[in-house]
Amino acid sequence: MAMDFELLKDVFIAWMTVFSVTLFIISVISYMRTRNRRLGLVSLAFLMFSVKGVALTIGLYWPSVWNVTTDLPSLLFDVLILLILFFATVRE
Amino acid sequence: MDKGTLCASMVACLLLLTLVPGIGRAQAANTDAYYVLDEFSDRPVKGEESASNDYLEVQAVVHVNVTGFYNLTARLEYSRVEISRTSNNTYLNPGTHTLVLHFPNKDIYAGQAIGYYTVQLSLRTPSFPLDPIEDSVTTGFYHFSDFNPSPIPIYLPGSAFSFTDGANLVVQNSYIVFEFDKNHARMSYHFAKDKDGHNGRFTVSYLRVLGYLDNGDFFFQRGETTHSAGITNGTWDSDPVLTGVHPAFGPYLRFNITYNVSMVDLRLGAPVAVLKVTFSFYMTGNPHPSADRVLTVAGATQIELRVELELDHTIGGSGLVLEQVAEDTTRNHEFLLRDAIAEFRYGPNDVRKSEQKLNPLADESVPKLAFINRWEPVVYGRYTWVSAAQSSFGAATVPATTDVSFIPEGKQLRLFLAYHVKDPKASFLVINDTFAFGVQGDIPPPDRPVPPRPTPHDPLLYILGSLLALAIIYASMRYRTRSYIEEEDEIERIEERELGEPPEEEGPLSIEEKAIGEEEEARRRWEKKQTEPGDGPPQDDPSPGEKDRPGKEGMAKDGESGNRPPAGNGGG
Repeated sequence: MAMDFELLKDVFIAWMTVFSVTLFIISVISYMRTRNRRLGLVSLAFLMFSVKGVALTIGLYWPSVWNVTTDLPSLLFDVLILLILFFATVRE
Repeated sequence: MDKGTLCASMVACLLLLTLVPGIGRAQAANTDAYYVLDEFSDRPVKGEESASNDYLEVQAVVHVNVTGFYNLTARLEYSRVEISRTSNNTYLNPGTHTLVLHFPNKDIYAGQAIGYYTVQLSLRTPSFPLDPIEDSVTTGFYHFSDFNPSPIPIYLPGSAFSFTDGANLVVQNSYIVFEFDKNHARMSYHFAKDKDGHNGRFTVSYLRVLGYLDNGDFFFQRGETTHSAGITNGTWDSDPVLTGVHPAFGPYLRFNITYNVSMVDLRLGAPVAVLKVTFSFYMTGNPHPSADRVLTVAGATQIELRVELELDHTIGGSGLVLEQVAEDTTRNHEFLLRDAIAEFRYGPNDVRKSEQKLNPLADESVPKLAFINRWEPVVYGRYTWVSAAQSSFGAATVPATTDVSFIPEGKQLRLFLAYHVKDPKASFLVINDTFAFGVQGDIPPPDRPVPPRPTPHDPLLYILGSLLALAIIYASMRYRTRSYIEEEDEIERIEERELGEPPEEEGPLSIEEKAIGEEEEARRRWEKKQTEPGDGPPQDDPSPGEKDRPGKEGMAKDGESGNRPPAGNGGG
């Protein structure tokens, strides 16, 4: 059972990486159109999440290159934070 | 605050101070200079026949003005923990005197402290009612093993020789054995707890020298291994065994073993150089008789392994590595001893051909190292410390540092020794390692640590997570786009309605039209009533329209009926 939970890391890390990268691109495009500072800050936040996701991906599949690890609860919180940030942005 | 209040406060404070018992008396005593504690010194004292220090001597200079008995009490502390306590009662005449205190070695050794000790001194005299004078002194740097009370016998050289750890051991007859198999050019060293040798025996099973291309400034980063020489394939020579007494560490025994091996270029597959590797063993006293200590690296108990390399041919590598694998008899633990000689360059045009030997009798050439005193932390922990090494070439001698790391890697415990030399002139290292193997005691080695299983991963799940994220974004954006479109359509409709021409409104009805309308309405009601059976209006009752309609017939009927009211209820 624990092994299954470990496998969830793949899903969450992938989700976080792709989600944050995509939203970063979208928010950057929106920022370039509107020049809204708040959008710029939001895109910065998405960028940070993107970097974290990439690092975790490297740590997941190429630990000899960069051994970055995390645990499942932290990942879950990251996902929730991203979702809230995303819906808050979309709502606005 | 006025002056009166201020003065009253000060007087009150002074009064309170005078009420505090004993205050000012010590100062008065010092002013009277009945006795003064002055100048301190400390030194370890060792007898001629002692293997280690017999005691730590502390001297204090006292100035006394009054004849009487004086008592100097001293507590030896380390990290505020008392290690030993001693005192000196003396009858002193006026003048300057030196009081000497001795801390016995057994107390210091039992304290197991390494570093700068603190001596808390207290001088008092029972002859006079004076407060004691107290002071604290920091001693020099001492290692508890320098105060080993156990005698260490000197063993004559032979095929095997041993150290006995002494009386503190639970099990006697522990010894360290070095064996050199001349027939197989194989070196092994092991230590055993008892004569059966069933415990704690380590044997070198693998030894080789590698030349490598240095890709970085750290030998772990070495790239391509270009040259290799296996010690087991070489020939060896041994020098006569020397014995003597080390000024600091007692009896010593040293000998050299030199291996002549051919170094093979791995790329060409042919011997390219003859390599001379000299192991210089230098063993001296004070093995640590701790029951739970398996590997000890300390200054006082040491086995110095010195490696000297000589090449008669240029090799293309920029560094050399000496690797040894030692394993215990139970094969539970293996040690990979890896000595790296970085910046090793030797060529025919290089005039630096001779190397400076370390003088084992020089105190500064024997590094004082930290030690690892338990097995478990060694296996499950990681330790790094810096010790002293010496890089010498010709007349130039520069200090070098040695980084020692014990890194557990699954079943193996790796011991890394990295030597760093900052002086670019010194490209040849004479390694001065200190290995000391204590005894393992009754505690068996722990089970082999189980390497953690690799965390399972599935790239398909990663793809699934990615698709999930994209799907959420797509769905959200699509929903959001649809709502935007509907909102825009609504706005457009409103705008069109507002911006378009207003519809033609019917003007207000005139009074006449209203009257006509009312008449029409009334006639509709009348016709409706007419169609209803029973209680309808009388037949002769004209319709409202006809009644008001002008004409001969209507006029006649009105004339005939006069003002007669209509009969029945139907005309209401």
